[in-house]
Amino acid sequence: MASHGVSRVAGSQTRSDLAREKELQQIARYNELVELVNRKVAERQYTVEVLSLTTKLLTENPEYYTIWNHRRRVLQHLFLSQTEPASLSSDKHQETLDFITADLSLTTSLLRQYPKCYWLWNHRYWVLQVGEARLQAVAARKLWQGELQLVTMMLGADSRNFHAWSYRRFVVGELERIPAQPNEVVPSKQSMVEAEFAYTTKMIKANLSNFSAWHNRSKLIPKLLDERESDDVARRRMLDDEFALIHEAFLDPFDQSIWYYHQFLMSTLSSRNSRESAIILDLTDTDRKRYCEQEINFIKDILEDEEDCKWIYEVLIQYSTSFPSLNGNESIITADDLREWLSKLRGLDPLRHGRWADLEYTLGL
Amino acid sequence: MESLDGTDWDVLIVGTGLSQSLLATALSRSGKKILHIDKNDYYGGSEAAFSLQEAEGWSRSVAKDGSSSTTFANVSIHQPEGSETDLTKLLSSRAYSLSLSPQLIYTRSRILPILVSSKVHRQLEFLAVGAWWVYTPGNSAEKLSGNSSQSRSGTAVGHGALNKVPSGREDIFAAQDLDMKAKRSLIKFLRFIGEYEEQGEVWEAHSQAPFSTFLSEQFRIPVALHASLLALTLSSLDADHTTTEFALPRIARHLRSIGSLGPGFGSVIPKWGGLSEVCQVGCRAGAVGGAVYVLGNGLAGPVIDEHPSDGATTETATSSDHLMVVLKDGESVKTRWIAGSRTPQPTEPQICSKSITIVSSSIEALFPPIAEGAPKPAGAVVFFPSGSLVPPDEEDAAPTLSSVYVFVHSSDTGECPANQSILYASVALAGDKAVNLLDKAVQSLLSSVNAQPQPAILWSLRYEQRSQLTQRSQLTQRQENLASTRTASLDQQILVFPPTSLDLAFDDSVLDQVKGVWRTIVGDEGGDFMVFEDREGAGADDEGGEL
Repeated sequence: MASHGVSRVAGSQTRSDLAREKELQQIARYNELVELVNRKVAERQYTVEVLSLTTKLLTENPEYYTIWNHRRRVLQHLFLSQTEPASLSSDKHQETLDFITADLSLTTSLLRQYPKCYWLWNHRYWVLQVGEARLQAVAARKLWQGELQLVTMMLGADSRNFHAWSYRRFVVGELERIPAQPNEVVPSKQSMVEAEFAYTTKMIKANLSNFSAWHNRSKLIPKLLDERESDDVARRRMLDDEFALIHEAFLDPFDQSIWYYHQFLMSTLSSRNSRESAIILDLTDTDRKRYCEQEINFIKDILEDEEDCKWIYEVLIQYSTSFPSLNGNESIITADDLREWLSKLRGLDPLRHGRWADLEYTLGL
Repeated sequence: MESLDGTDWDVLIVGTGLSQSLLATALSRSGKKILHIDKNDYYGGSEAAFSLQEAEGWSRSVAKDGSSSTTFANVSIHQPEGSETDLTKLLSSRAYSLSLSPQLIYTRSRILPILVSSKVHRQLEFLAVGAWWVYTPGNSAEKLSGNSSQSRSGTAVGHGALNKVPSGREDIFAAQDLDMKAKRSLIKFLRFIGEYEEQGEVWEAHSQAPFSTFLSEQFRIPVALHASLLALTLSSLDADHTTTEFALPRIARHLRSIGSLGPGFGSVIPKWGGLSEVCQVGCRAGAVGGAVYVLGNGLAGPVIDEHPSDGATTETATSSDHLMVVLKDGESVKTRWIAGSRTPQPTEPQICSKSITIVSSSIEALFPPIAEGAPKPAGAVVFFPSGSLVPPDEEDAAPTLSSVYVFVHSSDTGECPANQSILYASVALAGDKAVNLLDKAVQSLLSSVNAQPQPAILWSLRYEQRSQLTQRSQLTQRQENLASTRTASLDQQILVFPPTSLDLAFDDSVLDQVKGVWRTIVGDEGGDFMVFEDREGAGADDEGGEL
């Protein structure tokens, strides 16, 4: 099965009878372990022994999410009796820190093997949340910085792991929230937006097809502009630079992720765009028309080299519906254009003929 | 050591080159009685690696051999005078391990999983080959105005430039010197190559056409970029004579291999001296399996001839189905099978001139970091297209064959000490023209990297190597014929590997040949080829328990 053009490699092995026997024994042992854990938990034996049984079971099968729930129940009982952070030098503080570190290292080693297991990321999130509430800010911040390092390493190994990207946004949010200085209540100048923006640039240069990197970039740009307190001139320059960047990336129009980002940039031109995702704040209708025409012409140029790329036609039709000013008598998209593109789509993607028929109806062609 | 005279074996393997060493590994669990000999006093045969002294010894013995049927010829060693300074000295002989087989191994080659499944991989270390470069000459105005550097031999070489070959989409994205149309045409070609087998309608009609024409007509790729794509084929012919049919699978192999073992690189080289390490490790596995190894001993008389009825017979069939063989010291041994490799006949057309040059610089510019998370590269490839070193009008014969490839190995390979590098150059020609081309290639490379201080040549070795034209040998045909017959006759007990290929990348068909020979020897009960369990005591540790 391929995911966005990257195929999964399955390992296939021929097994001897001996290996099969071995496997049957392993299955029997596993089932015994499952039965044991479930029984003990049902008997409410929230002990260290049961904790280590769950470790054993989860190491074999981290996808068994009920066992993670059991583990959390045991951990809660063992380590989380108080709700306020203990003082920094107390035994209780150290104990809490120890249990957090132990569980983090368990999930780290499992994440190396199963980087896309939802339950591993969730458990990590839970550990950090409950632990942090019981730790002093200084210790908590160190933990989050460790998380940033982990996420960077995971993205180095697989830059398209969306779990890691989403976790990264979350970690960055936490780091921005927790004061670096012990006595500050609200952190000053702690924003990581510039650094994160530079990180997306780096990841895109390493792999253009990185949906998550482009997506993250789209989330960061409005925040970046606000933080820099960019004036209208600077904002326009940012949009122009981003369009120039994405134009360079169109050396491969078959790459879907690049179209997603282009669509984001175009969406910021719409009058219905929210303030949070805005780039230019003082767009006039003339501006809109100018940008739209500029982009439509650029995309039409690509058609000369790549007649058979269906994304191009889809996007062109979509922009014509999103920006009604483009249609009409003196506009650069005519009804004939739309008909032609639609018929190309029918040819290139015959399996979706129902969708193209629907589109034709909506466009009133 | 006891004498071999009168001993009885299942298999006699002659020579410790790559094919024979892999065969020894394949047979190492078969329980057969194996005698493995090599007439040299070192392992590796045509794939060996030499210290400086061993290279000198080899040079002398090749000169002495002088027979017309040889793999190697015209070996000469040069140590330029005055090349040594305090900082750039040739170190002791053993500080060097110069390889006769610096072939790169593509990461998708079948030899890598075979080394793993036969459990010998732990004794080997592989290093990444990083950037590929194409040389473009400086213009003649530079030469005339005296901007060119004078090499020690007095001929002026212009400062040419080395351009990195883009290894994928992101390289093309980042390239400053290409316009959008050129970039798009390259991407289109890359997409096509990814699944070219399923797009026969695009190329099959042009399979015999020159690759250059195919690129221009079908993909509108500018001529300036043809050399980069040609470099990836490792073709010895120029772009107008390399066929599309030849080029496409090789480029596909190159591009598909990138990322297999790590980001950004698609081929590797063994540490410590190229394929010679694989030979060592293979023979060691054979020895552990009980084979007896004897160096400095070979067959008396000519190397195995496929038609032993010509000339001096060294084997005679006995009625008990064993062959009798006489060795160099007059010992006679009996064996059921003989396996060895053939040297090329004087009439075989394929010949290559090669040089190995020790240079007094690590030439860092050729080894830029590969990618985030990728290992440090220890190899680089530099391609000199036909006509880039010597202007076409100076050539009279075979201008089509004057593409030169230089593989650069850093000291990380263990082949030379730190702050030095080895340049392995080759061209598919023989004679003075070839020597001249190789020299010019090395000089041009050194002058275009702009390293300070100017790298000096400390020592160099030149030789010629011969082979047969195609790798697919008569052997595979033979094995198919043998499958149907059970009675062994004299001819069928002598299993012959073809001469070492001159291909600059390891050719997987070697594995098919070894498998064919192995299957002939072990029959149907041999189990899987090269799939072994770890021997006792060699397995991985259990994981420790944790909270």
